[in-house]
Amino acid sequence: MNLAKERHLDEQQLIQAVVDENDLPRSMQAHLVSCHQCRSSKVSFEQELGQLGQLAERYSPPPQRRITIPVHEARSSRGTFWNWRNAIAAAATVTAVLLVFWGTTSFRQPTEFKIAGTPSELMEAKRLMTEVNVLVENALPPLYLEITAEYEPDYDREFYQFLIPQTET
Amino acid sequence: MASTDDSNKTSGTSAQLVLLVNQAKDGNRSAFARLIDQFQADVFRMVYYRIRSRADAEDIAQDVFLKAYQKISSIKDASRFRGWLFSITLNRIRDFQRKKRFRSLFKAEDENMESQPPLETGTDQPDALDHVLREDFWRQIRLILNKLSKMEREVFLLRFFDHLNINEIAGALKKNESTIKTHLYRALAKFKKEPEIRQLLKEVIQ
Repeated sequence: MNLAKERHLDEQQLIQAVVDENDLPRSMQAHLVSCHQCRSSKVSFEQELGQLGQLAERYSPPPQRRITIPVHEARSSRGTFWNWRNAIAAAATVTAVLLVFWGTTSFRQPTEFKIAGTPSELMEAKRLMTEVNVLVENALPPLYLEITAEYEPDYDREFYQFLIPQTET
Repeated sequence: MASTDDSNKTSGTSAQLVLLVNQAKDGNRSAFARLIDQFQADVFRMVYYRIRSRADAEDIAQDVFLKAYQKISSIKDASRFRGWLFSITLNRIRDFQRKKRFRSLFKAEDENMESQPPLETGTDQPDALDHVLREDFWRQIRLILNKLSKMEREVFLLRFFDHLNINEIAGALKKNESTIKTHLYRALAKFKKEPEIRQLLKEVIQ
């Protein structure tokens, strides 16, 4: 016992004592009980650390808002039910999105078909295309065509030679 | 021994706590309300020490008790309620910090509340001196905690700020007791041996 009293706790053992005194060897535990110096070193270190906690508490605001638990809040036994409800909601959302997507695509196709579907509309389209092709050939109105002689295909090369004779070489 | 003191402190109320927890498990709302009264300040402070925003701490504390109410029937050992509640709190804090970091990727704002704690300007600051003292205290605590590793810091905070014993810390962090003791030992060794931390500690205490 006297030997144990003489061997004071070193720094590592002092830290170990603060962490958990029971982890020290029995001889050191006994020394710590009897040695005023070692005990006061331990208590002093603990107090320093403890003061940090006290100051932290002092420099923290107290909670102001009261915690409220909703009356209808589900207990854990209803947790599965809520999970099911979420799953059903998710499935309904996915179905709705698919329906909207399918509806949009299926409505678009008949509309496009309808444009060229009716025989009378096809005839009208053909007539318009013919007019367009004529205009592509020559866009001038008939009056201007006469002036430009586009209407008289009988004027041949000889007539043009008569109008503008070639110079003799 | 500090952990034993804490155990003794709580032992007187542990039977009452177990009773309340068991009543709450059976759906007794008033029993749960009494548990809230008993632990609200602890949970709030636990969040505030790590987030240092009053509004966020209030929100997280509310969320913690809501979660606890929903899951209370899953507690097998009612005497472990405190550790279980603090475990929920730590998870909520982690979630908050994760979301905060994620949001900070898209915003040009400070990403870590711990490194730049915003100071609250509420009715609890009676004067400018108190405000300055508070600001200085948290600045120094931040400097001290930054010297510790993540795990050392968490164990240290739980032990000396949140006043949990080793067993409760092990429960809250889901680690075994010897791991917790190792991290705590390393943290305390830094407090004892590193002159910079010792100096900071003395300044804070003074």
